[in-house]
Amino acid sequence: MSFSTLSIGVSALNAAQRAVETAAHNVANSAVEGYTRQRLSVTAAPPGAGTAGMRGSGMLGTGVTVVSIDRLRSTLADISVRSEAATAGSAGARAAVLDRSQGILGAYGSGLSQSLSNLFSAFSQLALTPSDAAARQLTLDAASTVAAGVRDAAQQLDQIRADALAGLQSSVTEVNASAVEIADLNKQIADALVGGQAPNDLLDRRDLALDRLAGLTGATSRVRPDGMVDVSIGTETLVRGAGTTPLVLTQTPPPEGASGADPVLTLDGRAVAAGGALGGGVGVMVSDLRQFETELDGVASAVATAINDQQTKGYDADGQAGQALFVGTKARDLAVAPDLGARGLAASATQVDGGSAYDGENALALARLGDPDATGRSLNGRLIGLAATLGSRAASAARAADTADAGLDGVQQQRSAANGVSVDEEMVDLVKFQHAYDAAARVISIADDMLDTIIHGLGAGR
Amino acid sequence: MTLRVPTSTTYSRLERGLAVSLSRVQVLQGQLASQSRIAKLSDDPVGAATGLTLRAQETNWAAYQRTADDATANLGTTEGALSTSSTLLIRIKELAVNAVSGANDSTARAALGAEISDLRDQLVGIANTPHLGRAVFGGHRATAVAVDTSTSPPTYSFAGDSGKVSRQVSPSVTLTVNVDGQSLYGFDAGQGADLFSVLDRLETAVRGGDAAGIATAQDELQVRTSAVTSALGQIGAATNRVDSATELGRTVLDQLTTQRSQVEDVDLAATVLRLQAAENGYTAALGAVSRANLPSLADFLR
Repeated sequence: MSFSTLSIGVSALNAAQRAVETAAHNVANSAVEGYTRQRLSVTAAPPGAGTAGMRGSGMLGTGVTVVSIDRLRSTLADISVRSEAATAGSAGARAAVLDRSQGILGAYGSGLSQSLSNLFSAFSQLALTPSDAAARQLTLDAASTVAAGVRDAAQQLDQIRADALAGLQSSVTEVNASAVEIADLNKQIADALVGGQAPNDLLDRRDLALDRLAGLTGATSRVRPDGMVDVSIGTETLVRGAGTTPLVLTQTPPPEGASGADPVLTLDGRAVAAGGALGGGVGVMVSDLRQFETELDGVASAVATAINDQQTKGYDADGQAGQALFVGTKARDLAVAPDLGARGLAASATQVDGGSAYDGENALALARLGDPDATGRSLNGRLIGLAATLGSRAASAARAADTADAGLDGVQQQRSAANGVSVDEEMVDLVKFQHAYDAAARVISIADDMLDTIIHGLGAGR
Repeated sequence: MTLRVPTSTTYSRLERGLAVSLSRVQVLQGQLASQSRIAKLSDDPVGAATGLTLRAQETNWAAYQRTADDATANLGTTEGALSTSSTLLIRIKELAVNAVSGANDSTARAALGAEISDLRDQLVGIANTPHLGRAVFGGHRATAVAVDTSTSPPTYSFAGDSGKVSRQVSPSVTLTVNVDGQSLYGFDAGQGADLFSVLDRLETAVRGGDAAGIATAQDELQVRTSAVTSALGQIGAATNRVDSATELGRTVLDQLTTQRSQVEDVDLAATVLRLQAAENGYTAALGAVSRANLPSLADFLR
């Protein structure tokens, strides 16, 4: 009879207690974002040496040893979640900007396209009553409305660009904060590992930050042997061990004739091809928004050129040769010539002294500028083409964002199926280890009884 | 393999399900409330482009219709003026015939002369018929009168020009809706050859019983009368063309409106059905949430 039964019982008590504590920790964190369920890993303790030559004594068991508290995390699930998060982030950023852009031409049915139709309609009315001051004023107002609508569209594009840029800037700040947090956690985790501890909860926090970075930039990470992770965006490194390189958003001048600035992301002075929300935001700004701007400028200049050319072919209410109706060549500076006035509309095709005759022929020619040309394209057709582009881009971006969200949701479900806390499971564990604890206590009590028998029952003390 | 169901996943799934089904309900409610399938371009980019094109065409055709209405009014005014003129000229011819019958004494001739003078003044008034503030026989000139009688002693001069007032009433039809007053009234045939000077001479001849003068004036009058008649024919033909253009425009506008309605408007019955289905979905999602608190193992452990 030795005292080893007691020490076996104590090891079992300890293990059961640790297991209950682990289950309790899991239950406590069941609703914490990014928490990974943990499990106590135990193993049979190394056996004591048996007595040589004694059959049946073998190597005696010495109880149970707590090996570690494991974190049940799947790296593969993390990789797929982060890749989907990058896609969803990019699609979401694109969809948000494009959804706003589709409104630049005004409300459907009463926007710029209708204003342009109204202008041509006003010219045709002017052709009927070229001497009527009211008809002239109405036409001039219709032209102002078109110019204001075009300017408004350009200003809205500029505003969307400025807001998107501000959004990128704040995302970059968030990226850098996350990078610093990861570097910090890297150091703590490496220290803990050196000390032989399992820094499970620190790892959870780091993984959460990595998820966030993936959504923002499409960053990928690589775990080093010392437990730290290196994070890179594209081919450039954002976090190396405990050090970070700040991501910088610089603005490059716009292409010739365009307005605003184009964003460029750099790490350590080198441009990076980011994914995620930042990549999507940069992409939509340098491609889609620029394209809309170019097309809008094209429409504005086509309208202004066509109408101005026709104006100069006619004669105004005072019998003077017609002057340009619109000034400005880009959408954002298109305006009705400030000193033209209603009498300046060149309604007549023939010059009559003193403006006493009006044939309205040139006003009719101006109205007919709204008709399709030989190639079947009209000025309004170009504008409607832009509207169709805006609409289909926004629709397809919204669809892509929905699809990417659903994809992200799917892989997130898969991941949390692997690493999420199920309260039922933990309850089972609690019951199981409570019983184990009871049994271990019983072992100690029996050992105590046995010792009592030896010490008191054999009458050694008598 | 049985999938583990972590507790938090259950709730996040329910939350997502609720959001998705509620947004479906709201989209359909919005469509029903606005009666329009397209609130923004991305709702149906192709439909929106079609709708905008149809709207532009509608505005264009509405302008043609307005032009046709104006042409009709212009032609109507002109026709009225011409047919009244024609009636008055016939009356003047009768008077001239009466005057040469020889059975008239000076009182009767004075009465005939007075009536001719009266009719001439009426014809001058008709020649100055306005349409929207402009004399219909004045061509392009923005004057209120086509025949100026303000000089003293009264002579007649043409205050308009020979401009053709043309109206485009449909993409393919452009027509002249006025009559050139200068040639109608003979102002282009030389000094004193105009209708009103002829009538002045006729009046003088009638009053003076000058049979030769009356005969000359009758011949001159015949030329002017046939000018009025031929102008009436020209106006009648133009009116027919405008009428058929108006009819065409009305048909096209109806078609455009119907097409646009097909593109833009909600199919009421189908949308109500879809809304019903979406509401059922939402109710089901709500039901799922209300039952989400399934008993856990904790309820069975003491």
